[in-house]
Amino acid sequence: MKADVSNLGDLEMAVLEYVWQNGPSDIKEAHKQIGVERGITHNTVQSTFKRLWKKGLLTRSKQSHAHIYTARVDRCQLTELMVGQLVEQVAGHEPEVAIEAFVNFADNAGDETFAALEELVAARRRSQNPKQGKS
Amino acid sequence: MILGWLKLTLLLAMSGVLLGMLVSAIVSVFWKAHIKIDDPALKAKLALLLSSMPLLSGGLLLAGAFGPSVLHLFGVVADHCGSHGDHHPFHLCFLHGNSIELGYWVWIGSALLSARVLLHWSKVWRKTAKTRGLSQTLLRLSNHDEQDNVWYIESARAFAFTIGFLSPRVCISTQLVKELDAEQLQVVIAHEHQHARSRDGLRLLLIELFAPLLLPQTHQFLAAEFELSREQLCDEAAAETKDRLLVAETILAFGRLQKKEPQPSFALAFGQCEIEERVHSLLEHPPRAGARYVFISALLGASLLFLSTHTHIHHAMEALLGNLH
Repeated sequence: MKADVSNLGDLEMAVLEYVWQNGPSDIKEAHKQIGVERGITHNTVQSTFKRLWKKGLLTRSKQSHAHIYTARVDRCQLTELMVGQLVEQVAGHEPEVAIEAFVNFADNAGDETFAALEELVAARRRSQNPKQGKS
Repeated sequence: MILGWLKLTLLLAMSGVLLGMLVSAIVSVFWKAHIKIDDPALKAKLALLLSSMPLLSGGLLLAGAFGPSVLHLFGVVADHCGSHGDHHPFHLCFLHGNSIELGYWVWIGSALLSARVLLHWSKVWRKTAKTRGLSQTLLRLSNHDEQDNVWYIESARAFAFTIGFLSPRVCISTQLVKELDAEQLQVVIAHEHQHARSRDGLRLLLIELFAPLLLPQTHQFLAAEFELSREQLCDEAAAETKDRLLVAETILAFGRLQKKEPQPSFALAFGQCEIEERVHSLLEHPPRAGARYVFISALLGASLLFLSTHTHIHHAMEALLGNLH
């Protein structure tokens, strides 16, 4: 199942952080930790867990009457998924205005172009600093 | 009566937009074929000006039509209606004049233009919101370095970007930190901070919002020129703190790293092969400042605004509209 990372809200991120820290988690305990201080109900926390499960970011198993949720991706994997999606988004058909990359993600300069430019820069460097060129 | 004036306003705005679209297209074609602008600051300003040309000329035409009566309303100029005479049948004044009878084609034309604009804006909004959503979450997963004011993102991909419109943030991946040496990393940080300082995202957003009022080829050319010139300006800013060759070397090292990464599934619509132009530009001498040209264009803009509200222009428009009557 492909994880959906396109639109993660604050509460969803808080739940993920909680599961990463505490391992397999049940909703009752999670509500005590992240719900009470936010003044949100047990049901809101439960639906957030369920949403993350549907998005493929958590797995769940049933123990007696309660669901136990486990992280399907860790922090690094989530970051990589998001970076991958951001790169796809930025390099899409429509121009992207929300992001300025140092080098365009889809700049299509070929190897020959790179080699020629590198030689040009190296030659200029040598002419500025002749001793470096001789060594 | 009110509907008549509204129709007339729409007609004038549409005519101005079409005129601006035409001017922008002609100048862009001429620029592409015959003009080489070395100063990236001037190039960026010209691209922004030409992109906004339809909106500006629409505004100038409306100023020419209603300027005298609005200025009279605020007591800035004397009322010319008393001495108007009957040298043309149509009197362009919403205080004392008569509106013009225009067909339904004005409604249809303006509805089509508005639909095109709204459709494009909603696409830009959706994509921007999605990117912002992703980047906001990424920022939560990153570590902020207060000394460099950079958000470091734990990732095996090498990347650096600035995100946001009003409070842009510079993000750099930990992989890039590993791959570049300390001086090259400072070049990247200086480049990205310049993007943030000049709020390039916001300017690009403006260019994108003007797009539906331009011919697609004109917009593509102007957006690409604008984007390239902004990159060159940020390279120049980085070159002020380090040497120009180091900036060129960093661009090439970064480009090499990026080529190793999994490539996105789409090809970018514009901005391809920027690396080559940026490196060549850095190998040349620093560009001369184009402040003189900016002053001239500001003077030209102010003169146009003055002329558009001048009585002769106003009367010429009345005569033209009178013929449509």
